[in-house]
Amino acid sequence: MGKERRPLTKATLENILAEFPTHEWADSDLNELVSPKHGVISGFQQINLDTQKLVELDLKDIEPAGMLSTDVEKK
Amino acid sequence: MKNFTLTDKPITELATMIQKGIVSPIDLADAFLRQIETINNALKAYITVAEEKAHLAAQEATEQIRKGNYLGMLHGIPYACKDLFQTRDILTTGGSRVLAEWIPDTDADAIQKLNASGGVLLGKLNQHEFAYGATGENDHFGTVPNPWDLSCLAGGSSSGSAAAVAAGLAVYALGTDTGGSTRAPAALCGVVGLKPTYGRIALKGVIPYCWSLDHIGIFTRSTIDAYVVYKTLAQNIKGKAPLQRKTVEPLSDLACLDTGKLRIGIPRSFFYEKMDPEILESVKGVIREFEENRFEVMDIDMPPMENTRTVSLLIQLPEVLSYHSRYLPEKRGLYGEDMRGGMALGQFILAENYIRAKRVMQEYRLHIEQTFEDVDMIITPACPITAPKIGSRFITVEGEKEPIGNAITRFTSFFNLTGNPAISIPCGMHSNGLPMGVQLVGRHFEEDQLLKSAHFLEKQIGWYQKYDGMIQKDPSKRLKIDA
Repeated sequence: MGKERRPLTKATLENILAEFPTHEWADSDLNELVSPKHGVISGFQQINLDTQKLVELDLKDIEPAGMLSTDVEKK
Repeated sequence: MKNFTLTDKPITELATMIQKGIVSPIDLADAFLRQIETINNALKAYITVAEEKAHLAAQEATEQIRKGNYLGMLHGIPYACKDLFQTRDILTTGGSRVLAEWIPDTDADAIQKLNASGGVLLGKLNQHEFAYGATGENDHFGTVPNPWDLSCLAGGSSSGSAAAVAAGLAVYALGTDTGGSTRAPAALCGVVGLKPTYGRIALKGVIPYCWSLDHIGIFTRSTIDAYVVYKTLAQNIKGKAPLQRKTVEPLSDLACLDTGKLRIGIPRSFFYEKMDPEILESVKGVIREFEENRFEVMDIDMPPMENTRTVSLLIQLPEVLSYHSRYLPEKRGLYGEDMRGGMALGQFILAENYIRAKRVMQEYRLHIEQTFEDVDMIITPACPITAPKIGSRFITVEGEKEPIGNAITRFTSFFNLTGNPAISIPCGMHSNGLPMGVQLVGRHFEEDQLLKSAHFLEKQIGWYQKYDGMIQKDPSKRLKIDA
């Protein structure tokens, strides 16, 4: 299991935006990440928790998914 | 001829009527444009009605057919497309204020193919903004209601496409499907929704939402219609069936199914859990129907499903941000709040986790390929619920609260990760008066077999005979749309 992490705060996101090359986001956009109102995403905190489950998977030497076939016949 | 008798019919019937000279493409275009004029204010299915261009295309088709230059079953048939498809000289908004004034100078590849087949494009259909979301809610162009109950959602993101076909505002429609955006609204609106194999239909000229998961979707009234449109749009893939031919003969093509050889897989877990009991019973009835007709039905193990939504989101959000980064500096404020939040989240996802998600996606593909060595088709419910009420945010099934958008696509999104062809067809009416759908999933690039099976099932269920067109024919089901 990964180490236990502190809950994400808006201040963390604001610091990242201040220090990394990113797009600009409004205050309301960041609020949606820490206290989501819409039903599409469940907030950054939840995504982080869910992502941790993926990090724990042993994917061995599986490569990233690509096209199923790029061999399109040209007419 | 009265409008409802025309706007109610599938491609196959209308094509026969055109060939026999019973109706002309001009008659058809006029009938549909009148229907749109009557109903669209309430349904909000169309963002743009291309009346003038539709008339010109219909006149051209009528003239060509009169001269004996009949191009096939789509010649003179009115259709519409989600507003993600670029259309030459027609406003293309993506369902967003961001592109409120964009008029492309080229057609998307799929539109070119349909128009070259004589199709008559009626206009551009409403949707969840840039396909971000499964509810079809749209603050700018309005939320498309479900034609069976205007207080409910049509579902999304291809909300206008599903509603337009269900309500007789187009004979067929194109949409897209990144997590179920064709199959889910098709199920909620009682029409057929086909998502062919990833890459089978070219996405060139379609505004992307997520390159890794986007598929083109086809909405029709029947499986035969889906076959006709699919055959027109499919790209040939070397070494893979099927193949574009000069003529499509859907009745004979789909009727020759050898039912004795097909093995059907029923997932042991996840796909039959936490769902409306009436839908569960209806899908079990579908499985019995196959069993009684000499299909071999067996339980199968799917990969662990608990991570699929996370995998999908970790891929979607950085990709949608990457595409829309071109508009963000100038137009960030024009996006809807929900999409802005999703893109902002995409900004903070670590690159390694994006790659990890794509590796898990590959693991799913490898697993499903193994599964399809034992079975020819997988059957699941298309949606765990019927169309939810407009404005609702969460739904509670078996005591568990779930965001509406997650619930709508819970049974469909996995097959965007694996890229398998999948189709949703109506399988009955719920006691609440809303349609229910079943999902059939096939092997990569074996759309023909999938459509044959779906056609067989459609005949057994008799949905089209029982319910299709009910909205037009039965005043009590018109739901005061035109009052």
